[in-house]
Amino acid sequence: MKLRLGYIRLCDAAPLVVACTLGLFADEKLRVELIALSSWAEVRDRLITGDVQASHCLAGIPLAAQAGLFGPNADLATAFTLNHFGNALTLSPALAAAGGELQEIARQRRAQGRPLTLAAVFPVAKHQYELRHWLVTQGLDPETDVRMVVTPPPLVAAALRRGNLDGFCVGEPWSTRAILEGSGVAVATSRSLGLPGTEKVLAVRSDWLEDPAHAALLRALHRATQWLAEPLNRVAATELLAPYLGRPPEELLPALTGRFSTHANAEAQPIDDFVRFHGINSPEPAHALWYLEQMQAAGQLPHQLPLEDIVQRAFRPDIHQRVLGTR
Amino acid sequence: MSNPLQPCVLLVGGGETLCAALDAAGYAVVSVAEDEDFYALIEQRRPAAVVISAASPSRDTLEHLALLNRRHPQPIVLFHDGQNHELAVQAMRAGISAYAARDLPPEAVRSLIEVALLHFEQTRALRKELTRAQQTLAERRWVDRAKCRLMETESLSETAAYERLRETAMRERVSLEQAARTVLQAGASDET
Repeated sequence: MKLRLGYIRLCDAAPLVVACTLGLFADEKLRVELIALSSWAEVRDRLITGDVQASHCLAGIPLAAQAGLFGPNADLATAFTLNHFGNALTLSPALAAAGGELQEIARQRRAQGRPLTLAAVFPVAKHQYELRHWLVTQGLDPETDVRMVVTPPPLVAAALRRGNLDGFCVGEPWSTRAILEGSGVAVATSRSLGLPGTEKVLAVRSDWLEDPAHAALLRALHRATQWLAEPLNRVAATELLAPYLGRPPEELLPALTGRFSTHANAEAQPIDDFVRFHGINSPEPAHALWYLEQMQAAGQLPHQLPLEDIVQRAFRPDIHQRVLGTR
Repeated sequence: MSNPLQPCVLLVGGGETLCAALDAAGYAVVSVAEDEDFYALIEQRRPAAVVISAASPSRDTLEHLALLNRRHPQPIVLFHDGQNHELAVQAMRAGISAYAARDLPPEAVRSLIEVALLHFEQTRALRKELTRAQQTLAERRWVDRAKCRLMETESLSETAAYERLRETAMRERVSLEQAARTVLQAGASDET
């Protein structure tokens, strides 16, 4: 049987692309087709309808699905975390330079009827909660002081340039793109914010968790993340990824090597584990619980919910361990 | 002329054929580009439905709007059952995604998807997927040929030949396809 695997054109799709291009799926006797999808909504829909058997997916999606946010048939789960960290919070150069005057600028803009507008990539994406957390650390209330929107990553750099957005939190290479063209300055990364790391997972429909092909996928992905743990392989990974992302390899270098520049003229400062693929792959229930609490705090989920049950249905370290042991 | 009895449909990047078909089916069609400000648009126009390419990245903005206010159009594939769900899945596979407000009657939802299915132009997504699949096929041909070469020249079993290629790829940090090409090129220069 040929497996269809979905992914979004982002640096953290690396484990899937590496497993595919280095022949690790084929080692497991899997015939895999990687299918580039265009939105997280499309990832969710195609998983639910079985159009793809598994997909590179925001960790928040299987959790929101099990919490009932996506209707009665959205029975999604994960037994494999693809990466920790990897996002950057990028502002327009003017706003990034505001420093201590940020609160005052936010107040003025609200009074003018055009509040500061900040974008994340999906309602239940970690980017949303990273942005909210950062706003609070800056003394701003995400509910009242700014306007929060969802803008697809391919559109954020242009929106920042045109002034339709004042900032965004996205996965790579989209901050790097805005930084390289001088329209954005990074003020924080997933690494600097100090929040739980879980970012993307391999999501599947729960009725597929026990399929032997799922176990084979996990074994291949495990080897891919092992390969990605070697720093020298990270540079090579940009060449493997580039055609799948439709971006030049040099745009993928900052995220994958951790030599990330925060603005166009800045010397790249090495960031340890800017994005981490290996040694974090067993789904972490504590992180899942944190996500659900963020959804509640953002008013996306009601407060009376059996959170532990939702976590147990969506995050499956038990399956991970059965397939890969305690690695 | 705007008519209060005509439900408003927001068509995102849908093409003229579909626009005309929806118009003929009695909808007030507002046709917009993918980078439109959907927040302002949905608030002002209060559309009963949205029809958008399933491959449009702007779908995630509509998902945010659907979550912000339950009166905004909701993804049909998730929140309808029976025939409308089947139709929505069929539409998704054809490259269309549809959102409907909760007060739009099921019969109207059905006719809307049927019209969209009939007239939606071949989407970018379908073409892209095809290209990717063809590339995979080309890649497999290189790998198969290199495997055969290794089986002949090194008297390896098929599995061992594959293993050799894969190890080379991992060690040399190149794709399997590149490792296969190298084997075939080396073979070609040996023969001359």
